[in-house]
Amino acid sequence: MSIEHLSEGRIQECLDNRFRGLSPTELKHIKDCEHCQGLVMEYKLLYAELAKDRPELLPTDFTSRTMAIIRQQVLPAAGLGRSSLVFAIGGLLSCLAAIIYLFDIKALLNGAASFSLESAVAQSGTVGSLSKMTTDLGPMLPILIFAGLILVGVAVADKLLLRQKTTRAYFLSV
Amino acid sequence: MEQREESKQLVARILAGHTEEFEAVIERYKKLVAHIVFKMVTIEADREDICQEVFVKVFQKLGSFKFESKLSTWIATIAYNTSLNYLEKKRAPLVDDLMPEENGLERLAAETYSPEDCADRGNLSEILIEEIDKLPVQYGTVLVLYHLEEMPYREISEITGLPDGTVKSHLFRARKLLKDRLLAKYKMEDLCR
Ligand SMILES: [Zn+2]
Repeated sequence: MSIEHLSEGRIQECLDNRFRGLSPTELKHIKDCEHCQGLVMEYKLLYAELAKDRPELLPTDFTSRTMAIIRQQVLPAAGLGRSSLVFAIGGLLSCLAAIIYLFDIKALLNGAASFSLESAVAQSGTVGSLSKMTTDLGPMLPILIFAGLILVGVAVADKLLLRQKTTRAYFLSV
Repeated sequence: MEQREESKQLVARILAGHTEEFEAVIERYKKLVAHIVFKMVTIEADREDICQEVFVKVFQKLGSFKFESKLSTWIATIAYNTSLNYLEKKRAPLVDDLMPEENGLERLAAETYSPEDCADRGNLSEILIEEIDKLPVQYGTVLVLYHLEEMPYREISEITGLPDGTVKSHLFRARKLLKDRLLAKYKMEDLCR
């Protein structure tokens, strides 16, 4: 056995490379030398401890809180675009038209304080369910309601798409 | 390679406006960011805020990320630089009192600890964490990236901006310091128990 011990740096290198790249002389030395074996053992213990998983450092709500900061402080607010505004107004007008058509327009215009669904139904002379009313009032009502809902839906979808458009523009601008 | 492709798709979706998917990025890399920030930032109260700052920066810069490195390496670099800026503001040293005598090794060697002391102070892992915290900032960071995140020298060098050789020497010196400090405090057989 040669007396020349392996340096601690060399021993760490051996462990880093899983003992690959050691010369036969070095291997033989470690096999025969208690001092070097001791150092290998000490470093092995240290390596094992260093690789041990540590307890969670961040609180469990870290992700949600960080996302909230990004949403509130970083992302630009996506306002109502011109197109969604048109759709929303169109939708609301259709719904209003349907209501005026369903209830007596005069009762609305007269501003009757006691205006209610019951009085409107009584004034329009229809009794029974809404489906009965819609059949009595002809095919216009369901079409208006349907069109109104569709337009409101489009407005909501447009608003969501606008958010994506705004985000894309944000990333391009940064 | 597969993970790189997955990361690419995830980033593309976020950039296309599905910002809610950034949550997956935070979930995936918060441990890595915490490992770096908690090692570099010594003031406990500031650590979490800095981790948040890191992810806000990642989000803001996502559009400029060109996948020239791994997403993890890029995020780790942002975490490292953010912590570095913090340290510069606080004027904290990066690699300080490197000489063993200045680290009080002789004093430590003179102290004797019984196995009972060792048990009182918790297990070896806890003692080790305490000792790593006492290491110079860059030593601790390099140790954590190499051993906990299993990053190769090249990647650590990319994150810290240090040459490969310096990363290697920081690692060797950090491990030697740790081993010597532990052995100065406790006998090998106590540590092995
Ligand atoms: Zn030897």
